[in-house]
Amino acid sequence: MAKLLEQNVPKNNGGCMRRKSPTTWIDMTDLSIWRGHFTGIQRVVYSLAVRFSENSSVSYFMYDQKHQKFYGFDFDNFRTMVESQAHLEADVSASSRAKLIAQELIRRLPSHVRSRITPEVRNRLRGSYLRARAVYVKSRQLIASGRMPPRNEVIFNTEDTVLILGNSWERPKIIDSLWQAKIKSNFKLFQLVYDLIPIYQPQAFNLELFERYCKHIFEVASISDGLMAISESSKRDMQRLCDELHIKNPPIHVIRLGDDIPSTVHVERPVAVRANDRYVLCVGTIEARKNHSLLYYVWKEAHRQGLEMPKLIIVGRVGWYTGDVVHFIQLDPAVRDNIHILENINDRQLAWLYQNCLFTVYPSYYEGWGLPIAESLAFGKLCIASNTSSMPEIAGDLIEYFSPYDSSECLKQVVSFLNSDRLLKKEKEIARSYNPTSWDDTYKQMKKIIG
Amino acid sequence: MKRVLIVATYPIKNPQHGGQKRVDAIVRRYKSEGFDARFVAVFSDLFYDDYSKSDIVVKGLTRERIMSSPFTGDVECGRAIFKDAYVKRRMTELLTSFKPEIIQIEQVFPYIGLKPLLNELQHKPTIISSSHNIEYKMKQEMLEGLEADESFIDNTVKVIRDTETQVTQDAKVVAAVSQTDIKELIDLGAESVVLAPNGIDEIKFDKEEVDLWRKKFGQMDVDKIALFVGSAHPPNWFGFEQMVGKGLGFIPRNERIVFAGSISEYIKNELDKQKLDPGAVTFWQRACAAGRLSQDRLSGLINFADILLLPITEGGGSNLKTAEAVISGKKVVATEYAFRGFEELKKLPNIYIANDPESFREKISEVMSINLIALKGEESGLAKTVLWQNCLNKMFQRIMAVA
Repeated sequence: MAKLLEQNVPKNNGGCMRRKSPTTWIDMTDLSIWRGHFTGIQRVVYSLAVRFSENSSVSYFMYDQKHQKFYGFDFDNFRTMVESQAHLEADVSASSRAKLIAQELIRRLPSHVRSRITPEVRNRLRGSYLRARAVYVKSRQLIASGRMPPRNEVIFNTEDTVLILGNSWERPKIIDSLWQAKIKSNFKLFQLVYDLIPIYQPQAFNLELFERYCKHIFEVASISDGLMAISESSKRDMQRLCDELHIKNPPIHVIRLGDDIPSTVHVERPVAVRANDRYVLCVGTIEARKNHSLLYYVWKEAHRQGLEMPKLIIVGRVGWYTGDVVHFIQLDPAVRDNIHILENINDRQLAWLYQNCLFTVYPSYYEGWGLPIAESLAFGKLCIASNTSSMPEIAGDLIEYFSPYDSSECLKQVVSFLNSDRLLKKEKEIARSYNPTSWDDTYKQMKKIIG
Repeated sequence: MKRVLIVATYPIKNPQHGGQKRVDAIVRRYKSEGFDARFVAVFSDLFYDDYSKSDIVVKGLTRERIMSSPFTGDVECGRAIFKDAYVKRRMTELLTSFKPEIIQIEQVFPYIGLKPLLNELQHKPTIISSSHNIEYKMKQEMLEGLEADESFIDNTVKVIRDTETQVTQDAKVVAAVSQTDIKELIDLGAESVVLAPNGIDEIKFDKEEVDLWRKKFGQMDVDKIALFVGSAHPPNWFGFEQMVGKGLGFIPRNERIVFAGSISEYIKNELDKQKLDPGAVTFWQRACAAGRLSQDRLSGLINFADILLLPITEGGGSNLKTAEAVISGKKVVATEYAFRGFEELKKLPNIYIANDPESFREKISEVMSINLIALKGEESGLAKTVLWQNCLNKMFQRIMAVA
């Protein structure tokens, strides 16, 4: 099986990829380090890439920061791998430990190696840990020896459109490379802007990120022909930065991201939650900006007032600048039995949690969008959310608001919706009025912008 | 041959700042006019380390006082001519041996000590007052900006104002750098005031230096630059910050604003303190610090530049940078204020005036892509009026008449 790689290796070097103009090129570099589960940004890139592949003349590339070049990305192969993964995860009873390991090994192969493995072969490899391991080891040897040929370099043409939809600030040299390419071909460049939180809420991050992010966004705005912000709030922030730095504004459009709803076909109750638990749900990474400390104070104050409160279940991995609040939640006798932090929750478990919560709460003090709010509404569940930045844009009056700096206001809102009549009335309103946004909708908005 | 002694509070060997260059030009002119001209500086080596043997370096208590109050060093040096035994002895030796028939006072301060010394020696030369600014006002602004003690400010400003009034009234000829200053000096009681704006020497370009800059900027993929030359004098940065700002996003990736002179270090220090300002952290994406340069290297940089910037909004007197910019033959983007003392030159081609930040930035962008306009005969003559040989003509005509 390992010989498969050598047999399929062409003798000549990879050439250049040019397509018939005009082509839309999508940057897939974020997906080159896919580890089997999508991060938020990876999900955005993948979801849009799928729609583009089904509807447009599109090609895909990735950026090699070390060599400062653009190379082709085999999206069809990647998509097959993702969909196979999804089938595998859905068929839980069939997953054995060996298959999961084999699967992990395939995932860890570099994308340009994975792209040489056909779907059929990949399925066979998944069934055998020993075969998968052999392929993995062999591919590493070939790469190290230089015998694995280079990928096809991508050259953009004058009438092409290039879309950068992901985390380009983690590979800042891409700006230099895009600029150099633009001087030669003057293609159209559009970039997606998620937020400017590291700039306008620097307390949520460290100083190094502030400088790096400022410089990056400065250059993004300087070389782009158009920007797409994920909310009016992000657009305002981008406009503010352009005004402050006297950047001759590229047009800034707003698109609405698709609501990513975990599938409810197979749901699974997390072990830590009892079937009859009454709880309020809060979904999102536990980091300072998400303001879980406010929820701590809400539940603490409720306890102090002798109010009977449902549990608070916080779902998310523990991130940065949150050591204190996690410590307080886990040790304070007033709340430790009533507030639970659950990490490593998969989509099936998340779906169960949404379906069975009373409502959700989202106290973040600043967002670029606020996906968990849209998720909550898509499950028909009320979200009580902060009234700042982008959050009011998601569903207007269907959401109930509080100031993220006022725990008493949040407590009042939470307590008011413990009244089941009031809650039911709101849920009916949501069911009647909330229309989730599909990724098809997002694609159409984007297509209209880029032409 | 008439003997003339020119006195200042800074040396002029290897002149760097505007005052030094002006005095150096005046001394050279005296010599070329056939005077037996000598120059002496009374100064502190805290600020200057390049000077002639004949210059007088203050020591001891005078030096210590300057260390504790550097912004009134010029006042201390002037005072030392009469109050500091060492300096008084050196100056007395010079006056009694050289016996100058004319003494030219540069920038008022030497007269603080020189007047009582001349009285004591009963020496009555013709006094020429060479004004660079209205000094008492400049010092008051500076000390108030530094939030110095009020009584200290009052006392210091009084001493300078009294001296400035005295030297203006005692002088047979008072030279001023601008029309505005002429009016002020007449108010102080000047008998005769003549306009002697700041000027410059002809700029010579070395092709090798220009090629060096072309290569350096080529390596950065930079095609065009706008150049700002200045010292680490806070108003230089304030003017830039006011008229252009820290946000340089309007400059394309293949262009830069370049800072030459000690202003480069000043800006770096200032911006380093502003770590949460997007303008400060992105500033150097579109700006470069060339640092302090030799005259040849600077001339090469000026020749390479597409535009020279003069975002001057404050400061007394007139500005040598304006003269350099005009004689360089480059496109210039400037404020109206920058052309104080050079009002006639605003009408030259390649001079673009903007007086508010938005217009100033737009002008930079616009002028980068405009072609340089060749000067016609008359225009070329007008531009050359900024050369020292022309700027000092009227002053020396008056001096010759009274000498």
